[in-house]
Amino acid sequence: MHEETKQVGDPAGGSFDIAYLRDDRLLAVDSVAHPRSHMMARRSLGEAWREDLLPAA
Amino acid sequence: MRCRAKFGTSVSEIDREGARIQCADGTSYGYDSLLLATGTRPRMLGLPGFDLPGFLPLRTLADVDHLRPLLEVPRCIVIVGGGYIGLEVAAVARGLGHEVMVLERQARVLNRVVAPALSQFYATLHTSRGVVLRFGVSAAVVEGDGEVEAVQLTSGERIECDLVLVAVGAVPNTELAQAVGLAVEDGIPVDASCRTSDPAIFAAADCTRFPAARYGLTIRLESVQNAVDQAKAAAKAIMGEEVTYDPVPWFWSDQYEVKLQIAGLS
Repeated sequence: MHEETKQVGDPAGGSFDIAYLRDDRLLAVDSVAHPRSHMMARRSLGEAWREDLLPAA
Repeated sequence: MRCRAKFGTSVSEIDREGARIQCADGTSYGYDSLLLATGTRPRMLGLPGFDLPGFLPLRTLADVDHLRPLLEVPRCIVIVGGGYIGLEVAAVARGLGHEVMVLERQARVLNRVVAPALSQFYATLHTSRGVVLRFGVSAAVVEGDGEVEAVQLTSGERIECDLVLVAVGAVPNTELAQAVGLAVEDGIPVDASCRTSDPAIFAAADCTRFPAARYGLTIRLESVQNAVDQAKAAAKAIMGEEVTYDPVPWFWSDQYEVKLQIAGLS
């Protein structure tokens, strides 16, 4: 479904997220070793993307 | 309210007109509401060698109970399928010291479900722990005389091993629904109150296909979240409450010490 993805954080650092967007809105988030971003994502689906939507990894 | 559980038999027939179910053991029960929670079963590969004892599906607790004693001696394991279950079992098997190879038909792990950058992360993680990942390959034959000796790929290549584990997805158990004339479409379609095409019959969890309003689709979800939450929604609807089941889907996958958490559908 998604049209683009945004990466937050660096995989080499061990914790990072991938946000999946459609029409610039948040469809889904994969959080690797980053539980805070997962909890934020569950509340933020459908919101317009902005750089501080998810906590820094 | 009274609750009775009955084990060790299957429902052979549903009389929708008379609102009764018939069990294979000859007993029969009337209902006001009926809930189908028939789940999924592992997709199996119709490969020659499927009856060898070291060739196992991977999905249920019973599958794991069957597998566990086989892992008490060093094994050379081929896992067919680079999805969540295949990779989780690969991580556990490596952790126990076994030799592990994962065969994935597509060009990357978790191909259907995650972005390429995440596939790359997991491929690197598994490779760094000693799992051998093979892409663009399919198993053709499992060879062995009494026990598994090798997997032959469609390319003709032969890979020696003594266990073959298959984790290539699941199919919903819709046969009973179909047999009684309910609508069926890769799952049992239900509405947001978990009703099937018969208003007295509800369905919940992995076997259903339900409307996901936030995505404008009908979806089938195989997850703990959906199994628990849709079952609660169905119970409320059966008790006469107004229910609109439209969850935020969420999942997780533990591989080695790394936890992946997923919110939403991509």
